[in-house]
Order: sequence, then C-alpha cells, then structure tokens
Amino acid sequence: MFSVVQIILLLIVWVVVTLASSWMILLPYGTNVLLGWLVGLVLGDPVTGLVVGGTMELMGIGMNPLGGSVVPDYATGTFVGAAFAIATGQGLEVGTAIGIPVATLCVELTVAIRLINSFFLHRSMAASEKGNFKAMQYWAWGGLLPQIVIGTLPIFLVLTLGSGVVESIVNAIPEWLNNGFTAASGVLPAVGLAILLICLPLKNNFMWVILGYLLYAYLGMPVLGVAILAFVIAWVVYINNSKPQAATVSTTSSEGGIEDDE
Amino acid sequence: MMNSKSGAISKRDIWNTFLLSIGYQAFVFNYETMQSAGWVLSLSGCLNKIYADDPELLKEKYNKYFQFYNTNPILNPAITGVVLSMEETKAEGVTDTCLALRTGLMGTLAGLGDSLFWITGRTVFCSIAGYMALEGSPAGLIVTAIMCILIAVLRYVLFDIGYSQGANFLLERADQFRNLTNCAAIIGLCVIGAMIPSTVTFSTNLTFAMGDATATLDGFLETILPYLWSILITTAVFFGLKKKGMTTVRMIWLILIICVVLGFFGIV
Repeated sequence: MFSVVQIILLLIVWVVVTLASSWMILLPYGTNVLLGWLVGLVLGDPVTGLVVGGTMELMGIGMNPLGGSVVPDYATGTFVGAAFAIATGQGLEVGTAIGIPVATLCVELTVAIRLINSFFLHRSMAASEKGNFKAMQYWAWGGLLPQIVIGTLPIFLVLTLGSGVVESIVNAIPEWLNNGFTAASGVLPAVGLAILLICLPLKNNFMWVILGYLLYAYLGMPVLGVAILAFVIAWVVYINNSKPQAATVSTTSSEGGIEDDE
Repeated sequence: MMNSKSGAISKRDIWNTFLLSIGYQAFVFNYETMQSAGWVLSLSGCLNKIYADDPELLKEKYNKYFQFYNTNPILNPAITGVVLSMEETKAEGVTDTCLALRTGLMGTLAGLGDSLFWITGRTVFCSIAGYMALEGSPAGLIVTAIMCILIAVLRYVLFDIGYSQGANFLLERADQFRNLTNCAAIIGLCVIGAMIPSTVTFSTNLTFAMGDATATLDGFLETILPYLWSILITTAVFFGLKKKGMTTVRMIWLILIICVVLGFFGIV
C-alpha cells in the first residue's frame, strides 16, 4: 500500500510530532491538523489529510489531559484515518469511520504506557538510592521508550498492512455504519465542550455562553470574531478587578454621599 | 543571560536544566508520582554538580523530589527556576523549603495554566486551525505556530524570572493570577457558546404529519430556536458526564453506539 520511503517518512513524522506535542508541549495547538497535513503531504493528498485532521482537531477540543486523566488519542486517530482516507481514495467518510474507533481504542495504550512507566520510575529511584546518579538519569531518559515504542505500534501496524487488507476492511464497512460514524463525528465535539463547561466556573458566568451563542447563531459572527470580542470583554473585566480596593473605597464613599443627602 | 549565582554550575548546565524543564513531562509520566521523575531529571544535571561533594545529602534530596508532582507543564519552568536558585545557596534544610514551595506553587500554576493554555487557548486556537483545515487550508497552522513560539518564549522568561528573582515574584502575584484565571474563563465560555452551534452538528431524516402536509423534525426544531439540536445534545452530554460512574471514554462509546444504531435504522 505504501512505499518503504513513505513508511519511513511517516514514522518520523509521527514520532517527532507526537513527542513534541503531547509530551513536550512544544506544539500545544493544532497538532491533529499538522499531523493530517504532513501525512497528506507524504502520501500526495494534503487536502484530504487536512480535512481529516481538522475534523479530529475539532473533536479533540476540550479533551485536555488535565491532572493525568486519559482522553481519546485523536492524534493516532488522525494519522490512521488520514492514511486510510488517502490510500483508499474515499476521503473523510472512511477517515472518520476508521479514525474515531482507533482514537477511542488507543486510550488503553495510554494507560498501558503510564503503567509501564512505573517500572522506570522505580528503577530510577533505586539507582538514586544507591548513589548512582548517572544511572538515575539514564532510567529517567529510558522512560521515553514506552511512549515511543507502544505509541508507534498502531501506526506501524497500519502502515505495513497490505493494500488488500485495507481494501477489505473498508469494503466490509456497510453504509449504515458509515452513516453512524459520520453522525458521531458531528456529535462528539459536544463531549469536549461539555467537559470544558464542567471545568470552567459556570455558576456566575453562564451569560457569556449565551452571548457566544447569540453572536454566532443570530448575528453570524465567525468563531474568531467571537474570540476577539470575548478577549476585549475579559480585558475590561480584568482591569476592573485589578483595583478592588479603589473600587470599594469609591462605592462606600458614594453610598455615604447618598446617605448624607437623604 | 542566566549566569550561575554560586559558580558551581556553568551556563550550559542551567540551559540544559531549562530545556529539560520544558519537556520533563515526556519522561516517565506515571500514575504513582505523575511528573516527578522527569522533574528530577531536569534538575539533576545541576544538583549533581552543586552537591558533588556530598552524595549522601544528594540522595536525601532526590528521595524528596521523587515525591508526587503534577502541574501545568507550560508554567513548570518557573518552579524549576525557583528551586534551582534556592538549591544553589546550599543552605541547610533548603530542600524542605523547596518542597513546600513546589507543592504550594504547583496547584496555583496548574489552575492558572490549565485554564489559560488548555481550556481557553485550545478552544480558541484549535478551533481556528480546525476550521481552516476543514476548508482544505493549512493557514491556521501559521496562527498555532506563532502561539507555539510565543509559549516557548514565555517558558524561557518564566524560568529566567524564577531563577533570578526567586519565589517571591510568584507568591506576590497570587491575586493577579486568580484574576487572570477568571478572565480567561470569560473568553473560554464565550467561545464555547459560539462553538456549540458551529461544531456540534446533527440531523435526522424524521418527518411527521402536520395537518395535511408532512414536516421534517429538523425544520420544526429550527423554527423554535436556531441550532436547537446542538444545544440539546451538548446539554444532554453535560448532565450525562456529571452522572456518577460516567467517564469521558464511556460517554464517547455511548455516543458511537447510539449513532450507529440510529444509522442502522436509517434515521441519520
């Protein structure tokens, strides 16, 4: 299905981008778009890659691995989805039908990597206990291995699958299943947004959600415009909150003034 | 830029510690102590030199630093910088002070960083990159690339401030951080309000008889409120996720199953 050069290039893209993004936090935003685009460039169809990457990126908003929680591995989903979408020439529909289940299943791999890392942690601690600080460092560096090896496993399997296997997988997907996954790719962003709503202080701030909705649904303002307007509002609120003392002084004095008048 | 205070470590050692304080999360992230091993690794180059004469003391220090640690990785360089500058003084019992500071700061910085860079930042910048990609344009990546560079610079500045000005700089600004966190939430919530109608999409083939004519369910809902499906779905997921025993991954499986069942019956 893929040539040797393509496989090598794709593996390099995968290891570099995922290590830099989810593990080093050097690329905090747009990782799936970047991955989809690079996969597309290597396989000769950047637009399909971008569309699959963009779909996964929007699904992944809100899926923040905060406090060590596990979230669907949309990077693997993007990579596999984009590769299938381009290799079969069937585009986004195949991309989501393959990519979403892969992203969801790879959660187990993330858990496995962290469990295996415990082994490296204890080796590193034991080395420090013995006063061998070089070995302590080597074991900590070795902790990169589980992420690279296990994280790359699904990618490697997919890349080395023969075109016959891929064709038969894609052909085995009935139309109703495709329709279901396409519908799911529209619904799944709601999970990320709902998580964000749970994380954020919603209690005294719900009006901002309504404002955002009104701007988009009734005024047709694009999301970037909403973000800039929200930035302006937040700026004003920040300045107002920055001088709490001055504010309380002026209110009390004006209240006092009113009382005097009465 | 960052010259060693004591002379025990070189500029290069400090630079290496800074670089590792950026990527420390990649090393041995686990469920027991989370980011601690990578954090120890980032500091070990310098500590090994500062305390080269006293391996027993060094052992004790690492033992303490291997304890649980978890914060926002973007803001972590500030903490590493503070601890490095304090350890360089070689004061007695400094590690206990450092540990208390580390534990105190990691919660504050996690709250600030998570709401600024993850919740708000991702909502804004991932959506920009995502939408442009859906139209087949990689231009959104330019915006995210600029943000990535700015964040890298910020991490350097934080490390530098932490190292040269110590903990007071961070501790004095706790109120400012809280204010910043709250204001970031406004941006996040506003953008989420716009993203619910724009990214959550759903449509059915259902029709029902209305008098003589048949009407589509979607069209009917649309007359009540624009993007009503998006609102209903997000609300349902929101309350579903708040249910006990419901995890993100279970919710995703549930949605996949429901959508596939609906697809099987030809509804979607």
